[in-house]
Order: sequence, then C-alpha cells, then structure tokens
Amino acid sequence: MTALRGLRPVACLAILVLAFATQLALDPLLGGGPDAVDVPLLVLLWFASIDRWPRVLAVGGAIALARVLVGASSAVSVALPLGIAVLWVRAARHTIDPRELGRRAALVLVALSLANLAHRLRWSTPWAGTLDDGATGLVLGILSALMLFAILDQARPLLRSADYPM
Amino acid sequence: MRSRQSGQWALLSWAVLVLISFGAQRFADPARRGRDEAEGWRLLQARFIDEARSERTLAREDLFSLYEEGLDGFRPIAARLLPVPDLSPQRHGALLDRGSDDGVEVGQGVIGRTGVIGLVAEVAPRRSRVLFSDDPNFRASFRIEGKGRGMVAGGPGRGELHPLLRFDRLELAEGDLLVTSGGDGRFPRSLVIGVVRSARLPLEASRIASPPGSADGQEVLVLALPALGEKR
Repeated sequence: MTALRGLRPVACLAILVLAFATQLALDPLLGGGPDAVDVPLLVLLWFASIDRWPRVLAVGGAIALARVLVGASSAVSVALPLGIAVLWVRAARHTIDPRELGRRAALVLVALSLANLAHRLRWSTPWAGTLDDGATGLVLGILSALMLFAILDQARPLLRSADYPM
Repeated sequence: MRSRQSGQWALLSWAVLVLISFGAQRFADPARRGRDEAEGWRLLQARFIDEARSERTLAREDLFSLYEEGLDGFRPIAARLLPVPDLSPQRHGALLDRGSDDGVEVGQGVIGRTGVIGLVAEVAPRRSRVLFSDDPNFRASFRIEGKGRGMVAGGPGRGELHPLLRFDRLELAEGDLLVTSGGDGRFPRSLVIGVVRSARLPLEASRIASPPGSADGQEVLVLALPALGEKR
C-alpha cells in the first residue's frame, strides 16, 4: 500500500487519462499509422527520462494494458515499441542531458525512431515502407514532445519523486 | 505548495487544450470528408454487382440485396460498425455489434457498401472487433482484371495498403483496380479492395488507396462460410 502511495496514482492516472484523451482528439486531425503522434508514448518517455523505475514500469504497464484491452493489438506488439523506446531513454539519459532542449529533442527523435522500427519489425513486411513513411510522424512527434514536456515539467511537483537524474 | 498549484494549473491547461482539440474535430474530420468520396466507391462496387441498382440508398436491406448474387455461397451476417477506436495509433479498427452468439468468428471477412472493410480480429459473445483493411495485420488475396493475382497487406499509412507478394507476373500501374480473387475462405470474388495510387519497384513499395469512409457507423456484412454439408 505504501509502495502504491509512493507511485502517486492519482497524478499518474490524471496524466495518463489526459494523454489518451489527447491521442483520441488528435487522431482524426492528424491521421493514424506511422505519421500518428503517439502521445501516451511521449508521456512514457518523459517519465523514463526523469523518474524512478517503479513509476516508469507502472505507467508503461498501464499504457500497454489499456491498448491490449481497447484494441486488437497483442501484448507483444504493444510492449515491444514501448519497451525499446524506454530502454533507450534510460540508457541514454546518463550521457545526454534531458534538461537541454536540443538534446531532449534528440533523445525523443531516437526513441520515436526505435519505436517505429520495432513496430515495423513486428509485421511480416518490416521494410516495405519507404523513408518518407513515418517522417512526418517523427517531426510532429518531436514538436509535440517539446510542447508536452513543457507542460509535464510544470506538473512535476505533483509526482514527488520525479526529478532529473543529474 | 505554490509549485503544486502550478502543477495542477498545468494539467488543467492541458485538459482545456484537449477539449479544444475535440471541438476542432468538427471542422477537420476525415470521416466526414470521406463520406462524399465513399459514394463514388460505392457506385464503383455496385457496377461490379448490378449496375441498374447503383442509384439506390443502401441501408441494411439494400446491402443484402446489393450483394445477394455476388457472395458465392457465403452466409452474410448483418452488423453495425461502432466507432470505438483502437488505443494504439498504428492500428485501425472498430467494434461490431455482433459476436459469437450470432455466428461471428475470428478471420471472417467484413464488407460494406464500398467493398472490403476488413477482417474480424477478436470475438466476444455479443460483440467483435474488426481490423480495417489499412491495419498492418490485414491480409487478402487480390486480382487485377487481365493482369494477375497477388496478396495485399494493410498499411503502412492510414487509408492505404501495399502489395505483399504476387502469384503471377504482375506489374502495377497507377489507377489499377484491385478486387478480391476469392478462394481464400474470407471473401468472394470481385469485391473492391482499392485502387493503385502509386506504382513503384520493388512491388512492396507501391501504395493502394483503400475505399474511404469505413470508420463511420455504417451497416456492414460479416461473411461466414456455410457449415459442411450446408448448401452453398
């Protein structure tokens, strides 16, 4: 119970609900597929860059569970892109300072590219797409991440443990 | 305390932005735009089945009558698409208001007034989930009149498919019409899958536009194979 309280479930839940609501709001405006802006993934990347493992796992697990329950995706096809992107951010954040705007964008760019590649690998024709497939999604993803991270940075005091790793 | 308040204000501002985005959907809803285009695709499909009926408004009964001679013995189950989106942005599907209690099974084809809609992916007793034809997990065999046959897969982008493999010596050209080849146990012959939007080499890099307007709450038919011994 104490561990659950430490996760600040209400604040995390509010952020996740807002992330999925943003996803649903943007979906008809921007379209889906590789050019979609994956807002819950961006939120997860933000948690991965600033927070402890238990909260990252809890948020990642909640996103994966929601996508498996409300969708046709299997657990593997949901967890693979999320897991690879999170592992990259956790590994890179010690050398790439996520406080700097440019480095933060680079961190997100690589994470989104890895998630996109993992998604393509999941299907039988992973290299069927051309380079321009998903390029718009990457640009939109970085722009969205920079705006979203600014809001989430303001919300950080609601998550007591969340802080930059340095 | 002050910083906690600023955090709450940040989340509140985010929620307001989300509400504004939902409001903006009224002005930029591709499903709304797609409905007009869908009418053209419906006429194209109707020409394959029965040109004389192409002007009729297609409700559920009309959907049955549109396809009544063209289902090659498949047993149609009438259903309605419920616009419940997939939470994974790369996937594209919706719910059907029919499930295993009505005879719906995983893998069955789903067709609508514009041709192929998708495949049944999950089934519960009273509902099921359909993958649209632009979902990356969608597969169907196709033929192009006078050219050859092959297999098509959904994606990578929304509203598009790409060729997966070919069974004959097949070269695509822009404007080629892909229809189902039949014989795969999912779809009968001559249902519209899409039109080649860009023909490239290798073949997998070509793009096929799927019929628009599949996401709105339209009536569809789930195609069940007749049981063994049942007259087709």
